[in-house]
Amino acid sequence: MANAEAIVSPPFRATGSSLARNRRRAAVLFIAPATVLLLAIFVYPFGYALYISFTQWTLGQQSVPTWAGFANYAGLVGDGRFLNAIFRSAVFVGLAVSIELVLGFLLALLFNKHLPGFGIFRTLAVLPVMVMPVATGLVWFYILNFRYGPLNALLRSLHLPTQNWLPNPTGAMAALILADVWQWTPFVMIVLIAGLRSLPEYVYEAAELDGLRPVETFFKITLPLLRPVILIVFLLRFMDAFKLMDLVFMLTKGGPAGRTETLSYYIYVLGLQLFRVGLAAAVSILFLIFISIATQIFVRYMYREQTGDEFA
Amino acid sequence: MNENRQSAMRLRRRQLLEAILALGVARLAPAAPVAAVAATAARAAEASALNGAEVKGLFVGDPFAQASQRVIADLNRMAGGTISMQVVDFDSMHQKILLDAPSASPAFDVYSWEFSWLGEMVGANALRPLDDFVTRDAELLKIDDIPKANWDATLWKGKRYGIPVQPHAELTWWRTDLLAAAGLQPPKNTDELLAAAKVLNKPDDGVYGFLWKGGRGAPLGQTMVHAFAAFDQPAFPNWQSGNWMPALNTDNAVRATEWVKEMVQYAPPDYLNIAWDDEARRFAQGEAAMTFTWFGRESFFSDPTKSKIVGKYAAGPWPSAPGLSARNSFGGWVLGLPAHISPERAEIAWRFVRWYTSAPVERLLIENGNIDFPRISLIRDPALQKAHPVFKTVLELVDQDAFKAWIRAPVPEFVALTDLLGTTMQEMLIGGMTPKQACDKVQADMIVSLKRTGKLT
Repeated sequence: MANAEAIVSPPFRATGSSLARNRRRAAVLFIAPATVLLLAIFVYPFGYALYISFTQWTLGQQSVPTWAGFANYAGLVGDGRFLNAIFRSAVFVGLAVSIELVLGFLLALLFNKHLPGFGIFRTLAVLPVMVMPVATGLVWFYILNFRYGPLNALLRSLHLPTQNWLPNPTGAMAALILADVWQWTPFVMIVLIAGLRSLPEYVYEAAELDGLRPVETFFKITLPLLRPVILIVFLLRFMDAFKLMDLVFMLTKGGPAGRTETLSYYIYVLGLQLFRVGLAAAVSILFLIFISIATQIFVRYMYREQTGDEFA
Repeated sequence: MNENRQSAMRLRRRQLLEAILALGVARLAPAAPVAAVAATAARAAEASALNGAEVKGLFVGDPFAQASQRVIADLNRMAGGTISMQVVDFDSMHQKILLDAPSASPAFDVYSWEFSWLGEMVGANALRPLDDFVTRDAELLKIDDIPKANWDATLWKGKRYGIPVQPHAELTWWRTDLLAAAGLQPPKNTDELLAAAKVLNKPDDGVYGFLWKGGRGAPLGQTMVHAFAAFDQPAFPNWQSGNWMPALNTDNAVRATEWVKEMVQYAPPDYLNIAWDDEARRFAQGEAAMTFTWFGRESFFSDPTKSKIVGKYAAGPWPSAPGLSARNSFGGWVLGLPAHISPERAEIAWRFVRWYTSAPVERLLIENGNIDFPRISLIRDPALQKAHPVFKTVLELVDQDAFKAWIRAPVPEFVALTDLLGTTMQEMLIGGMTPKQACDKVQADMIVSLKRTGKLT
């Protein structure tokens, strides 16, 4: 031990401060690339978007932005199209995410069984998740086409009346929800299957010994134990569904008459069609604030749930 | 001086020989592609426009660019240089100009821009005025051969910003066989169009009266702008004098809106999802008796591999309300130079634009699928008229001075206007409001929009 100290200690003591300095330098060097990258792709764009949200700037009409204070934000208060976009986004998120969770849960319970052939089904069921949302939109656009779509062809073959899905105010939103549910339910299913398989076996054995019926086992054991996983998957789907843009672009362009114009699509119209980048930035900032607050509420709720469980 | 004259004479002799050779080839081998003749004529028109240089063009993916891509090797040879084209869609074209043009050294030498973007592009300082070049080369340009409406539409506040490359007329198209079977004449005004649509609408036979662009945003917005024009209502009546007050809820505007609402009874049930390409495709498939679209679609309708109506259609002007004179809109593409292009690049780019928009090159592009009217001599040409009878219709409209730029006013607010019209009028068409309410809403929203951009106080 003493020999070891003799070998190691003298140089360590002699250059203690320089080593600390070197360590700091090394740390700075290692962290610098990531910091620069973060500043470049997150902090700077965010700061810039925040700045232009306080300006009046229409590309093609003004070469430089002019300071407008809170005018963009104030203007949004009475902007019927903005309020409509919030409402449509809320309807979409509420319906699509609820259906995905319920359907995904049911499929997870089904495919969690170790039955022959279910492995292949599980694999096939995940395929929609791997498809690009733009491609999903295009596929559903053709499936729902009034004249040439296979869905109406099926209805015709069954001697049922064909439906004019996409230009219909109710049908258009239903089409968006349908396409989203088709794509993302398998994701919910996979996450919940993973959750189900992580539940401790002994709890179920105890329940069986206590004589709990399957329905009671589900509501008293499975559901409470799976709650953190459900919350996580809900949070992921909530954030993603709120950002919905590609399906709207491919399927409805926000129509008919704005009935499917979500917030993201409205930002796209403002920023990239009308080139009102100042106003588009203001809507984006509000959107970001809303998503951040909602996420924080969910995260805190989950944390409280988990810590509560630990102490229980 | 003598050397120059000798060189010029040699060039003229060579051009003459090439033209004779071209004619001889055409006589001896009638089946040989006409394009070869046009290519030789085009080369003869202006030897070596590029003189070994490369020109970088940012072009929209419209027929002129598609035709150019088909014959790019010929074009390069004829131009004596390299034409590098980046071809993008409509929206990207708009965005890329606005993003590239402010740069001190733009990535492109030539842009294609749409007629209706002129005010916006000039406002953004995206385009270089071309007056110095136009004055210098007026003779080579053969300005008298360019339809007046197209030429005037490249002028903004006294300065010229481009040369038309693919102007097109918006026309009404009808099925000659269906009209004849119903004993109808081609509709000449809005009442006749409505009456014909009603008679020809036979959904049980899979044929609708009139195919509309009713898609949200620009498709329906532009349909409404044309309907307003048919009832003598410009969207911005006094924009040229700097007065930006819109006129979207006048009696004429309301009448036009009511007419549209009546017309859509005879449209396919999903017309609210139809935009430009779908409209042409479905008319070509025989789904409607009539439609309204630009005449570049002629190449599509006349192609038996894509169309079921070959030889069974004709086109005419967009009908006006009874008692009004003909007023037809036109649109399409113009070639311009970036505002900050260097003087050396500007000279090369200009030589390219001058050559590329000349009648011989335009003829080559027409023969390769770009049906447009950049030059009067081309739509007057009997061979081209025989191949595409629609040229006669367009020539008549040119002679009547029927093309009016005010229908699609080249103002920066045009995009916002069509977006508003295309959203609010959908609400009206699905029954959410009356035509009058829709017109009042559009007027009010447009005023708010103009106040936001400082055009109105």
